[in-house]
Amino acid sequence: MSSEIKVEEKSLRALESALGRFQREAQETLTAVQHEVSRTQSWLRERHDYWQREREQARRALDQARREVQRAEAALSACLAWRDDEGRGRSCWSEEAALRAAQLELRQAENRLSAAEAELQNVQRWMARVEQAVGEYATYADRLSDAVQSGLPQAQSFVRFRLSDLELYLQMEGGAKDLSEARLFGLFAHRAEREAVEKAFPGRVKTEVWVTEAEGKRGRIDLLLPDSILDYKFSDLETKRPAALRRALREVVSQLERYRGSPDTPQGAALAVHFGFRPSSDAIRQYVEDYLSQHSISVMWGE
Amino acid sequence: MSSLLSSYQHITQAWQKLRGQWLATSEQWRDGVHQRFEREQWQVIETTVLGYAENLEALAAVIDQMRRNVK
Repeated sequence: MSSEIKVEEKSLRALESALGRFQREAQETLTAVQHEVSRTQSWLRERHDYWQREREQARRALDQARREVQRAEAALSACLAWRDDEGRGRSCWSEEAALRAAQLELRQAENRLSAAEAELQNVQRWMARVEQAVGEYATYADRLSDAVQSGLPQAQSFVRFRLSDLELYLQMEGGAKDLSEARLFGLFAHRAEREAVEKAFPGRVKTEVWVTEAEGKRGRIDLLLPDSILDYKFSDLETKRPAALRRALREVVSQLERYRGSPDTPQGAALAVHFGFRPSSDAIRQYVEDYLSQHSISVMWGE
Repeated sequence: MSSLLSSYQHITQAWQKLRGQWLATSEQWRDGVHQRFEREQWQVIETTVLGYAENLEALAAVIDQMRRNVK
């Protein structure tokens, strides 16, 4: 049994490391892609501006070419109309050549404008298509980012929790020499409670639920019901000195209020603590119940 | 190869490694917590990563085509 558990433990440790590695690699990918997307969008804007400038220049060149054609046509007309004193005309070869050259320039200017307009439209079409693809990608990038920030650490915590279970088994098999009795008992009791609740209410309650607390820290709720949060405590309150008892209760309040404040728990969930050890002293029980009731926390006692 | 395609390959290779480790661990992890982990953690991560990779590949294809078509 012990050797099987050791194999499982080794494999779980490898999974925990692999989850951590993947978390880093996923974050690297998200950052690299974001950088490349920004670079691409910036390049597209630059091409858009370039073709806009090209179109403006082509328009100005076209206006100029039109004026040149008009000038050449006027010069040719003047040449053709010219007559000397004896009514003879003269050769208009150079005016005709100038007009042909101006008309060629005009066609070239028209072609340049058409090309610039086509390229500008092409860039605009691609800008829209890229924006759409980036928008679709962003939805999935947000989900992966959530997994990196929350899902993968939660999975690691889950594995670590299972590892603590295995540690418990191994320590129990080895005589529990290296594990304090309180910790050993706590691990064992939590496991027993979890298994008992899951068996009694299959699929109706959630046990060991990982939630986000303030500042992104993770907390593990022992038992989550649709409208309430229950935590198990297995320390022996009766053996605590008054100051230690107050400290322990303050910690219980703080822990449960963190759970209640988490975005992962039902709003306004009722809070309750199940103490595995019922103090024999009425005064201690009353003190604990009064203290916790001030914070709207119900108390249940084990038998 | 475009930078996005290289990112796509990076994440898919990283995913294959993690998935390989998960399959190896599944063989050894015998109790009911294994099923719970698979249902509550692994399947969510798997859906997220595969959806992401698919969309990254599509984005890489669009940007690659754009680079070849825009002067």
